[in-house]
Parts: sequence; C-alpha cells; structure tokens
Amino acid sequence: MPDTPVRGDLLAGSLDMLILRTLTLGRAHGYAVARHIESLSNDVLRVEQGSLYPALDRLLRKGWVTAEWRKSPTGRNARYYTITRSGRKQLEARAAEHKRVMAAIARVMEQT
Amino acid sequence: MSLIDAMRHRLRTWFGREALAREMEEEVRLHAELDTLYRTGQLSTDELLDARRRLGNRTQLGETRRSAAGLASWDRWSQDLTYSVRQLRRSPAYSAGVILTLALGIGANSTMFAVIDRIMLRAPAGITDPDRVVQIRWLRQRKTGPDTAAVMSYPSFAEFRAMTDVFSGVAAFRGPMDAAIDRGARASTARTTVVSGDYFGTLGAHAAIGREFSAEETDERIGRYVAVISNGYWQRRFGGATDVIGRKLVVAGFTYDVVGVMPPTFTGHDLAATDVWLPMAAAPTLRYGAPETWASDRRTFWLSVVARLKPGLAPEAARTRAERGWTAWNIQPEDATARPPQPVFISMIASRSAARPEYRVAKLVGFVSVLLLVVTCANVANLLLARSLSRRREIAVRLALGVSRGRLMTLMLIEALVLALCGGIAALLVARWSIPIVRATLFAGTSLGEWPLDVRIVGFTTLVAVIAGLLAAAVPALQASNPRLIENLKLGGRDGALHRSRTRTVLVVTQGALCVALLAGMGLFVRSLQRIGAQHLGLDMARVVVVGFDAWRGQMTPAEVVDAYVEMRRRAMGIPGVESASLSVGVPLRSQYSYPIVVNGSDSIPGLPRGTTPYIYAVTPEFFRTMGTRIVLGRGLAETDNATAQPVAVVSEYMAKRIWPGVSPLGKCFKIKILRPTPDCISVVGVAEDSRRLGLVEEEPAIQYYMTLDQSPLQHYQTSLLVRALSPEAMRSDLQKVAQATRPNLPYVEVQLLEDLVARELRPWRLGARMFGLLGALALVVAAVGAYSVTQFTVSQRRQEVSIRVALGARGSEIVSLVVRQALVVSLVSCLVGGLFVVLGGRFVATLLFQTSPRDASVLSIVMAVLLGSTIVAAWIPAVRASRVDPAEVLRSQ
Repeated sequence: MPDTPVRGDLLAGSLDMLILRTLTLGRAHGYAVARHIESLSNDVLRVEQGSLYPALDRLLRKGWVTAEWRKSPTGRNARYYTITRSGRKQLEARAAEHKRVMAAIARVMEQT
Repeated sequence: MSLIDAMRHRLRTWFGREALAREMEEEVRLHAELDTLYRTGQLSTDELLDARRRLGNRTQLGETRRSAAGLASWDRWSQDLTYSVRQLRRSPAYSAGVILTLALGIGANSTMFAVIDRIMLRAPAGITDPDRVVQIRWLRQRKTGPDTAAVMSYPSFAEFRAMTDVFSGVAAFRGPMDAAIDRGARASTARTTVVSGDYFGTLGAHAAIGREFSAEETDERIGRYVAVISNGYWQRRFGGATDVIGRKLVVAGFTYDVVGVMPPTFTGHDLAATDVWLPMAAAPTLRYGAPETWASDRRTFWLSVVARLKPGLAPEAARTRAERGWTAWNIQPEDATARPPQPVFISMIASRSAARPEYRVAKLVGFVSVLLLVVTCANVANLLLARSLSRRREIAVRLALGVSRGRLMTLMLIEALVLALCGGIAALLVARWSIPIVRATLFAGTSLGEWPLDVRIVGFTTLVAVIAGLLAAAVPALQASNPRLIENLKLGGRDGALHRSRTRTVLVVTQGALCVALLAGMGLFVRSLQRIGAQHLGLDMARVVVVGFDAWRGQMTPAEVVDAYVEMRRRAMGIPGVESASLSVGVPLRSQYSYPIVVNGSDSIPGLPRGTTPYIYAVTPEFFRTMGTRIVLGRGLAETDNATAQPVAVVSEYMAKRIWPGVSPLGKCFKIKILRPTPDCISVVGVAEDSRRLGLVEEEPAIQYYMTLDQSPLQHYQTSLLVRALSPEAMRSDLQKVAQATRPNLPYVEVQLLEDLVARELRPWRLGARMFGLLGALALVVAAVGAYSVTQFTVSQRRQEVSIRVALGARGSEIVSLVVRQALVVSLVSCLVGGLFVVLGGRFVATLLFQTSPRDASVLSIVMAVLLGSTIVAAWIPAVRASRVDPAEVLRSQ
C-alpha cells in the first residue's frame, strides 16, 4: 500500500475521531465524552473545553453528530450528542487512516 | 443525509446566532459544574458513560444484525403509526369524514354478513355435531327439471328408522303449525310441531329441565299425551315456573303433561321457531291423513325426515344403502318394477335456507351492499387523493430529502389503514345498531335469537376494513409517489391539481353511478309495490277481517259449530265500526273448495281444459257487500234462496265468459255432480266481478261461483266469519274478545286481516324496497359527501383563479354557478353511466319485480333528479364559500 501523506490537522482530526468513537457507545453530553476519553487513556489524553466544544460544533456542522437538549439522569439540562450514520462512515474512514498513519510512524520509529 | 444535516445546522447558525451563543454558554457552564463535582468526588456515575454503556457496543452490534434481519422494523412501524395518528389528529374534519364514510359502507356489509352467516352458513343453533345430521329428501323428475321433495309418507319414515346400520337416529316431524291452546276466554295459539321417532336424540338436543320423549311415547302404536316446550314458551306461558314439569297443557282439545323444557339455544329444526313438541301418535287433530291409518298410509306425503348418520359412515355410502332399503315409496303394487326414486341427503343448513323469499332478497341485498362498499372505497380514495394532493409539497420535500418512494407509500398505506381500522370500529357500532333492525324487518317471527357481535362478524369487519383501506389507498399512494411531484414542488403547487383531477373525476362518476343504480333498485321495488296495490282485486283487502276457529272432531258437533258462528256474527255486528259480516265456507286468498260440475248434461265443459273444476264459495247473502265484490249483472244472493227454494248461483265474470261465451249466462243451468239427489238445475241469477282466489299475482282469473250456505253441498261447520270494518287493525283485539266469548268452550279464535294473508306474498317487494332504500340512502349520503369534498377541494385549489376573477369584477353568483356547473357536469355523466348500469344489470332483478320493467323511465328519471339535486346542494356550500374570498388576501398569500 503506497504511503500517502496525512491531510489536515492531525491533532484536531484525532480528537474528532476519539469523540466519534466515544459516541458509538451511545448518546452523551460533552463532559461525559471528555471524561471517557481521559479515563480510557489513563489521563494521558487531556480534553480541554476549549478544543472539545469547537470540535463538537464542527462535527455538528459536518452532520456527523446531532445534538439535542434533554434532562440528564441527575436532572440537569444537558446537550446530548448522537452519532449519525455519516458520522459512523467517517469514523471508519478515520480509523483506517489512523491505523495506517500509526503503522507508518511505528515503522519510522523502529528504523531510527 | 449528511448534507441535509449540515444545511440544517448552517441555517440555524445563520438565523440563530444568539440562540447558538446561549447554548454554547450553557454547555460550558455545565462542563465546569460537573468537573468541580468530579474533582470533589461527588459526581454521580450516572452522568458518565459507564461500564454498562460501554457494553452497549455489543447491543448495538446486535441491533445492526437484527435490523438486517428485518426485526427492528417493528420500531419503525410503531414510529410510522405514531406519525400517522398525529397527522390524522391534525385534521379532525377530514379524518371524521373518512371514518364516517367507512363506518357506513363497512357497517352495511358487516350487517349483511351477519345475516348471511346466520341463515346460510350456520346450522340451526342447539344441534350437536350438525355436520352428521341430514334431511332425507328424494329426487323427482318434473317438467321443469329434477328437484327434490321433502315430504314423504309415514311408512317411508319407518323404513329409514329401521336402518340402524346406516343411521344412529331418525326422526319425522310435521310443523311448526299453529295449534289452539286451552278453550274459552283463556284460549291462545302456539307453534306446534308433532314428532315421531327419536327427534331430540337425532338432533342431539337435550332438555334443560325434565326430559325429552321416550321411545314409547313417540311410538305410533302407543303414544302418550306428553309435551316438551321451548324455553321461550315456558317463559311466556308459565312465567318460567320451576315446577312446570307435570303441569297440564290443553292443545287442540287434548290434555298433555309437560315433561321437559328445552334450553334457550334450541328452537327447533327450522328457522320458524317451535313452542310445543308433541308425539305424533298422541296428537289426533294435528296429524295428517285418515284417522288411525296414517301410520300405514303410503299415499299421503306429509312428513319431513331428518337423520343422523352413523359415525364413520360416509354420506354417499349411507345414501346408497338407504336407497337399497327403501321400498315404501312404492305406492301401488304395480309400480314395483319402476325405478325407485333416489333419496338425497341435504345438510341441515341447506335444507333450511331453501325456498324462502327472504333468502333471495338477502342474497341480492348482500350483493348490493358490496356495491355500496365500492362506492365507499371510491369516495375514501377520493378524499385521500385530495388530501395527498394538498400535501404534495410536504411529500415532495420528503422525496427530496431522500425518503424512498417505497417508504412514502408505506406511510400513506399506514395512514389509510389507521383510518380504515377506525372506520371498522365505527362500523361495528353501526352493525350493532342495524342488526336488530334487519332482524326485525327480515326475520320477524323466526327462531333467530339474539345476534351478538361475535368473533366472525368482528373478523369479517376487520378484513373488509383492511381491504377497503388498501383499495382506497392504492390510487393516491401510487400517484403521490409519482416522480413528477418534484416538478410540482418547483411549480409551488400553483396548478398541478387541475391537470391531475381526472382520477378524482372518474371516482366521483363511479360513486354517483352506483348511487343511481342503488336508488333505481329501490325505485323499481317501490314501483312494483305500487303496481300491485293499484290492481283491481275484486275484493277490499284492506277492510276485511277473517275470524275463525279450529272446529276439531269430537269436541263440538257440526251443528254447535254453525250455531257458534251464527252467534259470533250477531255479536260482531254489534261492535261499532263493523259495517257488515258474512259467513263463508271457503275464504278468498286462503282456502277454497271445488267440485266437478256438469253443463248441458256433459262432463267436459266446452271452453275449459279437461279436469278443470270451478271453485265454490258457500256464503250468506251479505258476502258481496262484505268483501266489496261488485255484482255486474243480474242479482246477488238473497235470504229467500234457502233450502226449499230453487238452487241458484252467482258466477264470476270469467266463468261466464269461459262456459257461456258471447251469451248472457243469466238463466243458464249447471249441476254439481256430488249433490244427491242431483238437482235439475242450478240456475245462474247473477254475475260477480272477477276476484282473486289465491294471491295478488294470478296468471288468469279464477273460475268461481257463489251459492247460499243452505243450497250448497259444502259442510257448514267448515265456515269462517268475514267481517268488514272501517279500521280492521284497530278492532282486531275487540273482535277477538267478542268472538272468543261466544261460547265458553270455544277454542282459540283467530282474527286475521285479509291483508295478512297476502303479506307473505308482498314480503319480497316490501323487503326489496326497504333494503334498497336504506342502502340507496346511504349511498346518496356517501356520494353527496364525496361531491362536497371534491368541490371543496377543487375550490381551494382554484382560490387564486377565483380571486383573480373576483378582482376583475366577477360577481359572487357567477363564481357559484361556475363551480356548481362543473359539479353538475360530472353528476350528469354519473347519471348516464348509472343508467347504463341499471339497463345492463336490470335483468338480475327483473324476476323479483312485478309488472315493472327494470328500465322503467319514470324511476330512472326521478332517481337521476335526486342525484342531481343532491349534487347541487353539495356543491353549493363550498361554491358560496369560495365566492366570498377576499382577493387581496389570497393573492398576497400566494
């Protein structure tokens, strides 16, 4: 498979992917998404508000997630995000891309 | 999909910047709040994506698989259902219109199904395992072709009864017929059936109280005076008394012990209910044939026979064996070499439904109610179509959004089905209300008890509702998913409706045409009734009452009977309102006597076919005045025409014409052969107009003559009392009481209107007129609603055009006439097509009509006028509303 360069912002792209991946588990509000990513990565990946909500907004705009206001289990008014079908497709593509990039990086790192 | 979502998001960003900012702010505030809670260890794990939800991944995988297998579609169905219900609730007037229309159309069908199910598809109630019970008939060859006869002689029955290897039970019966109960002032009548053999055992019916007859009690050589009564009679006569067993019941002058009461479900073998069952051997005056010889009389055919086939024996095998063993058909010894008639087994259901006029009418009306359903479907299709057209923008948007055509059609079908099922439920209410009415009009006096809405009716209604829903939805669903709708969207829904109205027009024409056909059906039956009523019958049917009682053998002497009638006549004349009264042996429309006569010394009368014997009435002189029969020539009968005077007769016009053609019959002479000593001459002193002998419809006038009681050969105790009254119906019960009180030991005196004797004959026409009228009225309502809704819709589609016209100075009346004219044109086409239906379908009802052509022009034109009139009214309302539009407002809004 020929190597093609990663397009766009790698970091921003990764966050999108992580958010989408998290949302495949079910509908969630922003804080739950952040907590999930942080706890699964053993707090290696920190998700800051400043990047999380713009990222969600971006996903909304691209139609990969939808959002709606509803009561949380503890009775708070929260904005819940749901992944759409095109979001899932996007996630698949990103995940494949990610695997390819990670393999490429690993190869480079081992060689050095 | 993504494009649409993105678009929607962008739209919101554009138009709702402030709202968006507020949302973002709120989100960030919540984030901070939850983060604080988390750090202090107070955050509920509920707020997070917990372990359980992580497992949700698996559930989701499962869901994908389920969806692939089509299982998840239930969710979608319920979604669609909710959506449909919401849509329908948004336009209650439209939904109510559709549901009402369906309720009427389907309800009529449910009702007719209930009728047909009861009388044609089910065995009489209360019979165990009715499939094994057959009526034994026999095949005979007639000029008109082979048919089966039900009645046979007692010896024939006895032979079948002896075939214990073929039948597990055989019973003979005669009835139900009216029999007098008690005597004097307490006298009444009851429907009585005399039975022989194992009647109850064969039918598998068991007494609820007491017992059925024993073998000994029905044995023709023994017989016991015992009676089994029906539940209804037990209630009516004995007030449901628990100690009814052993009580006495006097039937036709003989006293019987009540031994059993049947359960309410069992009312006998026939549609006509039985009150009292008696052993044939113990019912001397109710059985047929010569006294004491009926059990061996092969010549008299008077019994119906039912049998239960032995278990495991095929009907055909049973029939063959029964045919081999049957010898008593052979009336004369010299017939022994002739081929025996074939016995035929007929199921209880078929035997019951044969030959009653109600069935022919019921079948016809069943067919007609299907027509009504078609009208209904056309109308509902029209309403759905109109609605889908008015929603075509919404539909076009949905198509543009990528909703598949199939799913769109599914949605529309679901909507139609929801409507249809609601209509079905409403139809059940209609049926609940209409079934008792139909039962009362069609089956008055039959054994058909209560008709609850059972599983079969509900099932049928549901099925019809679903079919109607699918049929009605098919046209609009196909049209709505038409790709051209996209163009409609582009056109902004400005026209579209106009060039697409062809389908709707066809539907409106169809329903109008069927409506014309139904109303014409009613008109033809009404016309038949009118023609029958307008006939000159030669007797005043509406004014005459027939009073009589069973003068049974041994209870009163003939002289006592005659005395009773003479006294009864005297008392009847005292009742105010009675105009005249006459005794008569032989009652027009009921029963007559005839004897061979001799004219000019010859047996064969010139002008009459061989074997024709004229009918004789032996009457008192008031007869002609009482019956309203006019004397057209000579004189009537007089008191002086008594036993010592020269015998005289008044003959009917037709008799005079046939026997003495071209000459005056006055002074002519004929002889009655049985009169001993044969008188020299019975001279004709007068001619009476022709009058009906048997019924309303007679192919040729009866040949009949009248003599006084004293001079006639007829036995006086077979007399009846004829009473002419101003209002017979009103004095019926008075007359009964007065007549009943004539003698203390008189059996039940029956008072019948002469009209009632022909009521049965009139029934098919009356029924036809009523049922067609009811269904025709329903169809008219449905068609009017259709015309209204279509006009309404057309008008709403043409608002713009109308407003421009108004703006250009058109007057309101011009707009109204424009709209109404269009509806009228459609209606006229309906009339023509409907007229065609009537002309083509007329021959199916022709046999049920009386002197009325199915193409009767006056009926057709009246019906068409009714349809046109209702169309004008239906189109007028929306037209007037349309003419009142404010052009400025309409044009601005478009």
